[in-house]
Amino acid sequence: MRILSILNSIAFANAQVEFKNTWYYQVGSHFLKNGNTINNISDKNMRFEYLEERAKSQYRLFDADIILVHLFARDESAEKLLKYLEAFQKNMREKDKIYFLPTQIKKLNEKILSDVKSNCFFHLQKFETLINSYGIGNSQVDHNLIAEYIKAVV
Amino acid sequence: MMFQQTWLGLLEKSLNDAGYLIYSFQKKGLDTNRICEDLNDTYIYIKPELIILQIGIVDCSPRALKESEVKFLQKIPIIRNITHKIVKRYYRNISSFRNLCYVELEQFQKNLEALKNSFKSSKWCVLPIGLPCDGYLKKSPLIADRIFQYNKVIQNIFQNSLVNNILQFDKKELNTIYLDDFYHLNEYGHKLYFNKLQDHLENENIINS
Repeated sequence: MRILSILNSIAFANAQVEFKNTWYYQVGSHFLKNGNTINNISDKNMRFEYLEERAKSQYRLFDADIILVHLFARDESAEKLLKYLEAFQKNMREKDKIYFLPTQIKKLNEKILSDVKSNCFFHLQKFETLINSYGIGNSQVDHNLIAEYIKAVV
Repeated sequence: MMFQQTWLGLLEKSLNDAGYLIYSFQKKGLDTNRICEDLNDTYIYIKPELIILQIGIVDCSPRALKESEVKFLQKIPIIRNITHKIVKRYYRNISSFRNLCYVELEQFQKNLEALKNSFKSSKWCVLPIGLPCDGYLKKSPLIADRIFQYNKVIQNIFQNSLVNNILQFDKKELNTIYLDDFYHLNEYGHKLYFNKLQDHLENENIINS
């Protein structure tokens, strides 16, 4: 299986633990050990609004079976974010399984979760303490929890 | 062309199979200035065992306009379109006359030194700037000398980490590895690049065959 992970690299700098202990590293290693191919694309300036265009020009070319997206919300409204997510999904293929991880803004997550047509928006916000101002994952325990959750769902 | 057909896609598969988890930073128009801007708040956290750096022509390519001029013109639609047409038509003459590049040689050297010094315990594998084909030489008279100068800097800094065999294409072969734009690799070119890179990684005992 081919997995494409799209991550805003601001998370690297603000992770509360060593890179090799973060949830994204743990998840990547897990997929790799199970014989999958994983492409991690990280960009400091990545935003939800760029997803639509990059889906066409970049992400579709990976022919991935599973796509994990973890980005930060800026000053967008939940409606705008939803539009970006839907436009992105339209530009990917129907068979693509896309998982959006929650943003750092709990209210936005709740709104997206209640409105998004896809059932691929992770319900991580039930772990309220896992969300910080730079995304998700505070302590080592948090990172382990998130990694286990993603591994189990994906 | 799909990602899996590119040298990076082929390499990622090969390194994944060898147990490496890859983090790739790929962006249209990425130059060493931008890489250095992201150095301290992104790359250093990864602490990679192996770094594969591919340097393209973005830093050294002869330009008709400065980056600031391009940014300014982008804000004025009509002028932008006219300028675009003029530059497209007279690129050869304007770029030769203005002799511009996005990253000057001295800055390029500083950027590479900063990068190398930030990852002292990592293994490096550096792909030099690919040699130009006849079509590119015709379109851009300054390109051959630019590539030579910039590759010399890469060679001085990275020495044995340089994937030198990327530069060992004969003239005839060079005309078969690029797309119609003369500088992006075609599928055949990607395959050849991957094979050369794979040979380098095996010969240097970076990955096992």
